[in-house]
Amino acid sequence: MSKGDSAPAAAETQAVAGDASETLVLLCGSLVRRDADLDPSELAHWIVDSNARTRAVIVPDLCSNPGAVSDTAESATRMLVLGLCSSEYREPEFQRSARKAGIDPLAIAVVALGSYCAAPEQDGDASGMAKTLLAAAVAGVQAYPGSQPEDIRPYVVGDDQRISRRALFTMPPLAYRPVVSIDRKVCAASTGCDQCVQACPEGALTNVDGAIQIARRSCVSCGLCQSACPTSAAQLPGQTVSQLEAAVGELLSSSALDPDVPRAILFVCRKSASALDSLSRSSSPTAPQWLPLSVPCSGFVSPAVILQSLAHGAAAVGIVGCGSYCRYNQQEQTQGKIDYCQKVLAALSLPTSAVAFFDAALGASSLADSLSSPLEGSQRADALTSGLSFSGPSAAASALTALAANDEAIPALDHPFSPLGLVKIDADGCTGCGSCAQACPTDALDLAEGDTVTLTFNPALCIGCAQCVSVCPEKVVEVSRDTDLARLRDGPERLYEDEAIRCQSCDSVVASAAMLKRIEAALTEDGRPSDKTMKTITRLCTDCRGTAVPFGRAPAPDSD
Amino acid sequence: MELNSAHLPREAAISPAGVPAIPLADLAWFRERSYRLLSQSFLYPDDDVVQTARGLAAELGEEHTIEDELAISAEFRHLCSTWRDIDEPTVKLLQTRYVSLFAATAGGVPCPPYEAMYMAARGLSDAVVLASVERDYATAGLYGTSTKKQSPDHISMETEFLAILCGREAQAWELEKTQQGIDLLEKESKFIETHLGLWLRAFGHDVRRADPGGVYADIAAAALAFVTHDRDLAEELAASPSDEPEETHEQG
Repeated sequence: MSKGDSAPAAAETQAVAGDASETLVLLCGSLVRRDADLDPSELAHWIVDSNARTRAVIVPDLCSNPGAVSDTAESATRMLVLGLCSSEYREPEFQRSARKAGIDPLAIAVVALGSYCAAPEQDGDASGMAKTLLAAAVAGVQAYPGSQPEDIRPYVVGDDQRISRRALFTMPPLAYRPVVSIDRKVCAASTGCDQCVQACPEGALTNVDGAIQIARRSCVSCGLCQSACPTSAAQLPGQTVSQLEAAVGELLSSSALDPDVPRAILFVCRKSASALDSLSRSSSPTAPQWLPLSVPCSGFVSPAVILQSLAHGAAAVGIVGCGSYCRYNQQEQTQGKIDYCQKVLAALSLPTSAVAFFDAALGASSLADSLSSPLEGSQRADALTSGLSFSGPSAAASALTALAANDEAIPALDHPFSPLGLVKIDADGCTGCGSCAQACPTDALDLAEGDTVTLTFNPALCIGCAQCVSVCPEKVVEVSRDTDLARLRDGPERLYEDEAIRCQSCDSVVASAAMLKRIEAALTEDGRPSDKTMKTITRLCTDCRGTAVPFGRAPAPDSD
Repeated sequence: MELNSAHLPREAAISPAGVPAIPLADLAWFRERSYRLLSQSFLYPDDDVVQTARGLAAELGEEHTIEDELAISAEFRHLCSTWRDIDEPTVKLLQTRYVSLFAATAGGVPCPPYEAMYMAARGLSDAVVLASVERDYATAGLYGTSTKKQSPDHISMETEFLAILCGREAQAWELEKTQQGIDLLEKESKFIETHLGLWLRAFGHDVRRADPGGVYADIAAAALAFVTHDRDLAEELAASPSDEPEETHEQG
């Protein structure tokens, strides 16, 4: 809203489209005043024509008029997309106006069209970019399933500031933010998984007796738990995995941009969004290919998200973060993930600059220099056109195999930020007890009992959490943070196999042969029991030992 | 048992529409009425209860300024409109459903509206739960009376207790007793955290299962939405003030 103040404002509110649409798109009429090729009316017609569930309204000076939300929303309105001039907008007031209209505070998406698309000397397709960003925002909110009462919590606006006691006599302004939600049906906390607990920078999550507990007031809505969760049980309402997939998918497939121009996804930490605003006021526009998408924190962007985006046609993926000023201390984590992705690209003989981190803390001019450099990456001719998925460990694995489709021999990559791991087992010491498979939160390890007792490992599902290591009674399991494309291609592999000893009463599996040897050894440590006792214990399953062996009348297992 | 509360003033000075500064006293009175409406909603709907609930819903329906400030879910707004517009056939239906859901039937009580019944699953005995609730009531200076028999852990008792705390909080703000207001906010969020909030979700789940799409399912959903929001709100407001010494009375 800083530019073009002398230009005349759009005359009056202009609505485009039918009136029974669930998604309301509000566009600031002042966008037309910016020195670029942005016509709100054209944008409004395009978004309505391309998405039947939308209604678009152009509001004069919307950025300064949050009350327009409740004035224009209708009873059918469930979701809201705001196309504003800048990312520095009056969020609490827009939220309040949306609440008044009965709109879920988490079903609101904001696109700073003025900042992202209207840089003064940008020679790209500003209109096409604005349409694409709007379409991505609409796709994101429409993928939101709606919130439960526990999904949001109020907070006092400006909670970094101290509020005097006297000020308490009137209610301080409130806004709402999401609180992470845990789907207990798929959460692996009962197996000991605590990836979300480890990822939380505020200690808001704890694993209590196999269930994740949330300290609601401590949750800062950074979404790092969602990024770390191997089962997609942790979700940040309003920024869920499915919403992110929908938005990125739209950015990569939108028909509003020239299909021959490479597209690059720019994930922008919400705390760094204002840095892009300053770019639009500078003389250094961004390269036209970058398509910004707001995320809660730079650490929110996992290697799976980066690699999936590349595999599905992104020429490059960038992350704008707070760098050393990150309040969640994600600088090292984000750099580590970037470094991992770059090493993967190098191994695949792809340009490593296709993945980059942009430090907003270094200032606008530095950011401008970085973002205005032409991209080295190019859109893959064999980009995937379906199956974009950011969920679970298999997302990284499937992206890697897609990116490496034409490569033959690639060395394994050992990296501390590898999203994938490899399990090794000393088969001589393993007894096939299955403790590791029970503890595995992603089912990368699986124990099958048939003619044999077989432990298989699927490298595409392993996240390298090492829970299997901690529970192994024989201490024969090792885990490394390795990405091995050859093994990913080969699929599940057998780590251990042994003869299955069956119950002589009911024919179910008692244990592996190695396990029974171990039991026999344990039983004889303090003096050998009778042969009959030994055979009863080692040749009958636990159920049959309890029912078929009444006291004093133990059947002789070898009587046949 | 019935909680003896003072007759609390009901009129609150609502700021003109569009002005965001809402007095905390008005907010507390709004919450007090909301809890009283929830409390009435879980009593047997005889004529007195219906009349009281209808009146409270009408009062709350006029509080647009405060309601617009809070993300109180659509369920709570629906609750208010249900009571405002309730007619005689619906009252009869409610009475039947109340008995079949919350009172003893041949097959037991489908949705027991008692905290102790739900806390048993956590290994707490009835006696411990009841003693804990009554201790909180007594700490607030509230004791049972013999005019109405109601278990202290009944949902209508727990919500009525919160209504009384909110009423006291409102009076504290009106008298500019800042610390007292903050203390009451803390007590409200603590009571929800240690009692009502622990079992309301499971109770609501039972009601939805036993009365799918029914009025009581809506009421239970509204209760969960409001109480969840209110706990966060009370906690947030109580944590807001700085540590500077209270100056209100010295300056006054």
